This record gives sequence, C-alpha cells and structure tokens, in this order.
Amino acid sequence: MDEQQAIESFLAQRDEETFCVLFKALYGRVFRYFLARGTDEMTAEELTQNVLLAVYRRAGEFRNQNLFRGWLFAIARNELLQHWRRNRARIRTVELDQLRERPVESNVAAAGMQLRLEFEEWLSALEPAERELAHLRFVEGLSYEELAAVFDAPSGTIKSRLFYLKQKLCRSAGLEAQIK
Amino acid sequence: MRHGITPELWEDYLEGAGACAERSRIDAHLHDCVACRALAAQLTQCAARLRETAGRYDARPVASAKKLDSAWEAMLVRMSLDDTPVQQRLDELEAAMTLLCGSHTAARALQTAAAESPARSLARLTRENWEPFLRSLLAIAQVLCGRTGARLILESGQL
Amino acid sequence: MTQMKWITPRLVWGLLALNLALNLALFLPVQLGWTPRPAGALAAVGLLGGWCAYGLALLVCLAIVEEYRDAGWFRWAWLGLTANAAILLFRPLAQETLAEAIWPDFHASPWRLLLRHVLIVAANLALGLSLLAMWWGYRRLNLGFHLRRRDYAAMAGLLVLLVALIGVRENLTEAASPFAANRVLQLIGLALLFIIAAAGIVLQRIAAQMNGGRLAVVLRWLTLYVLLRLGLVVLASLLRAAFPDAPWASDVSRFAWQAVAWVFTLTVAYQMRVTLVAAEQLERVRQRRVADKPALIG
Repeated sequence: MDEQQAIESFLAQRDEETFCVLFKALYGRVFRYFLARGTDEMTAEELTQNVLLAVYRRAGEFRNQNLFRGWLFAIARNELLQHWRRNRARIRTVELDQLRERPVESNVAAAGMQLRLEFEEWLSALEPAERELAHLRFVEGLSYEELAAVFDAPSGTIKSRLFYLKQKLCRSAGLEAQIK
Repeated sequence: MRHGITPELWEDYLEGAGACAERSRIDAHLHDCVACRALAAQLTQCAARLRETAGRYDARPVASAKKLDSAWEAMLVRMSLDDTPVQQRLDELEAAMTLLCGSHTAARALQTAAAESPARSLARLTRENWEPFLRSLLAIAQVLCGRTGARLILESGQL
Repeated sequence: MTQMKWITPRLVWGLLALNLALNLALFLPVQLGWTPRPAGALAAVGLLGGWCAYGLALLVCLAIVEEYRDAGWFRWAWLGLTANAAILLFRPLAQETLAEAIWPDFHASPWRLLLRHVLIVAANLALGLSLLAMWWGYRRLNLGFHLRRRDYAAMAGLLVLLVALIGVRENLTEAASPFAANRVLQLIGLALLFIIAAAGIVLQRIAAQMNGGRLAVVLRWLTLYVLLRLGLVVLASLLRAAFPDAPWASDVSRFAWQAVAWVFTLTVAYQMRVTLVAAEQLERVRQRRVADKPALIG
C-alpha cells in the first residue's frame, strides 16, 4: 500500500490497524523533518512519536484529505516550536565540518550522511525558515496548498517565498555565472 | 515585480502551473527579453538541481524496519495511555493545583515532579512509573498548600 | 482547621467595616464641633478593634501552622506571622490611655515609648523573617518564579525613600527623645519595615507569576499589609511635618493603623480559605470515586 492509500484508509476507518500502516509510512518523513530542523536523533524520535500520536488523536478533526500532509507538518512544526519553548533551545546550525568528523558505523549511514551533506551544504546559504520551506517543498514534495496550511500563509505568499528562495540558491550555487 | 511578472506568476510559470493566458503572456515576454529569459533558465536549472538532490536525499532510508517496529511498539504503549486513567489523573491533578496555586504553578509543579521522577517527562508517564511521580508532586503540594492540599493531590492522583 | 472555618473573609470585612464605622461615629461629631473629643471611647474602640483583629488572626495562624506542619520553610514563615500577630496584640496596650487602668501614670512614663518600640521592632523582625522564609521556600521549590527589572527598581526606590526618611528623621516621633534606646529602636524598626516592604515586592511578583489560584490572593493581601505598614509610617511622618498642631492628624493615623490590623486578619482568613477549598475538593473527589466504583452484586 502506498502512502496516499495509507492516508485514505486511516482517515476512513481510524483504527489501530490502519494507523499502524500509516505510522510506518510517515515515520521516516517526520523523523527526517526534525533532523533537518536541527534536533538530535533522540529528540527527533520523541517529537515524531508526539506528532503521530496527535494525528491518531485528532484524526476526527481533519476534513480535507488533500491537505493531509500539510496538516501533518503543521502539527510537526508546532510540536517543534513547543519543544523549543519548553527547553529554550535554539536551532543548532550543524557545522559541516562536525558532520564529516563523526564516525561512520555502516554503509547506509555513510551513504545517508553524504546525501545529507550535499543537500544541506547547498541549503546552508538560506535562513532557517527558508531551509524549512525548501525541505518541505523539494524533499517532502508538499503542494502550495499544503505548504500554505503548514505555514498558515496564503498560497501566493508561499510561491513568492519559493521564488526568492530559488534566486538565493542560484546565487550561492554560482548558477548565475554558469548561465553567463 | 519584474517586467510586469510577479514572483507568484514566475513560480507558477516555472512549475508549469497557472492560467493559460498568463503563460502565453510570459512566453511572449521571454521571447523578447534576454534578461528574463536568462532568469527563467537560471531558476529552471536551480529547481531541477534541487529536485535531483532532494530526490536522492528522499530515497535514503531514514529508519530501518527494525527501528520502525520498535517505534510502533512504543507508540502502542502511548496510545494505551489514552484508555487508562493516567491522562485523566494528570488532568485532575492539574485542575486541583490550578485551583489552589494558579495555572503556571500547577504546570511547573507537574513538570518538576515528572522531571524528578524516573519518567523524566510528563509524556513518559505510565502506570508503572506513576507512583514516584505522585510522591514527588505530593512533596511540592505539601509545601505549597499544606496537609489538606497534599491530601487532595494524593487522592486525586490515585490510579 | 475546620473549627476556625467560621472566621471567613466576609466576617473579617464586616468587622473591619464596623471598626471604622465606630471610629467615624466618634470622630466626625468632634470635627463638626458638635461634641468634645471622647478620648476614652476612641481608645476603647481602638483597643477592642486591635485585639479582635490580631486575636482572630492569631487563632487562624495557629491553625495554619498546624496545617503546614510538614512544609519546611513555609512552616517557619507561618510561625513568624503567628509571632507577629501575638506581639501586635499587646501593642495597643502600650499606646491607649486605657492602659492607665493597669499602670497608673503610664502615659507619662518613659517606659511607655520604649515598650512601644520594642514591640514594633519585635513584630517587624518576626514579619521580616517570616517573609524571608516564605521567599526562600518558593525559591527552593524551583517553580520558575523570578524577579524582573522593575522589581529591582522598586526595591531601589524603597531604599531611596528610607534614606530620605532617615534624613528628615526629626519628624519621627522619637527624634527628640532623651533616651537613646528609643531613637535607635525607632530607626531599627523603620529599616526593618523597608526590608519587609522589599520582601513584599518579591511576593507580589510570585503572586503575579502564579497566574491565578487562591495562594496568589493570599500573597497579594500579605504584600498589601506590608506596604500599608510602610506607607502609614511615611504618611504619619508627613502629617506630623505638615500639621504639627492638628489633633485630627494623629486620629487619622490611628484609624489607618486599625484598618491595617484587619488587613492582616484578611490575609490569614484567605489563607485558611485555601485549606477549606482543598477540603471541599477532596470531599468531591472521594464522592466521585465512590460513585465510579461498580456496584456489588449479591
């Protein structure tokens, strides 16, 4: 069953069995979102559990199936904000040098770290809020409407932000020079 | 806005969305404007590279099957708390303390008691680690509200 | 504690109103020139009012001390407040002319003022230690109470006021006393009053940060009590400076001090309400648990 089918199935029945399928489909996404926002693995695991439990508890409130992922990441975003408030934590900008120095334990971890380095290195030119938007748009593949739900902003504003974000990335990647 | 094209219109155009009339207008403009044509190419290349990089990033497994199973087991435990009195008792304790000591004090007292107990946080409270948490909260209530207040907390918190 | 539940805030408000009404009934005709000053009656009202206020407060404080038996620093805080009430019970005797019945020529004796200041210093010391114990108790709980810059600014303002008052201390009642002990004790009492007022600012901040609840009400009344005590000393000093020959100035000061006594009684009555409310809630919890139990079949 793919992710969209898991979502539809859970929203239709809202029982433990369908939630199990949805949980396993979404866990990785949400976990990765928190890692990308600068939390450590243990915190990311805890927050992911909180988010998915909130999805289970509040599924009855959700109305528009097409905006499910927007709703999901809006919960995730709010959970992270509350976590920061509780712990007075700030976004940790993970220095790329520190990432490279970490010992690699497996091939999967090594491959993952390389991919993460490449993507995050490119996004490091952005502000944290822009990085979050880029992650949700290009990694998680959220639509403009879903992003509007996450950030509680109009679709037009989301599109503008994406436009400026791409311009900024172009400049940092030296694409301007290549075109010329 | 650049040459009558807003950032939203640019975004729609580059993503292949937007109204036909607007796309035609922008097409016509790009035919004549070198700068905008260069910008469009630049942004298209950027978006393509973003998608390619992000796509490989997306493909990487974040959680192994074993990790997912273990996370699901932990989730089952937390879901079961919805059906047991633990959450209900927490709500009652918070209500009792709010009445006597105010909402901020109540929230902090519960968090402090949880932090000082084996549970470490309110979210990790279960039937098994409830007793030490309640004892911790009782000590706080006794100091703040006296013996009767402590008695109220003790009885409100009985599972 | 339940034996004291008849001492409600409403009762205390009523007694406060009665005390002030009696004072006004005796005072106004004098100001309007209808009657001569009934010194005996005024003294009697003041004495009975003070005894009633601090007597009721003492009874309630003793019950509260028992309630906080296992509460560490808060028990000490309430012991201090109990001592404050007990000491101030005797204070009217050192002032009112009815004390003449016990000690002839008392009003002319130098011991009268010495006794008065000893009682004031002792009461202020008990109150100050009580507030410090309370503040320390809250700090040890580690519930996130903290002071703000404006609180420190207020404390600095108090310090400036203290320095100014000492600077114009010739307006204090003992400034011209031939007895050094009286002068020193008055200054010590004054300094203690400012320390107490500073502690009151801390308690007010804690009350604000509690965000509701009955304990916050108690802390606010306690803060009002300590600030009124300081305020009245300052007011009395100003009145003496502005109206040195006006007998009504000392009467106004006396009435205000009687009202302050009732503010203390209100504070402890509200504290008792915390326990009574907790007891009522406890009863409700017990009844709910009994109702929730499945009925026995058989």
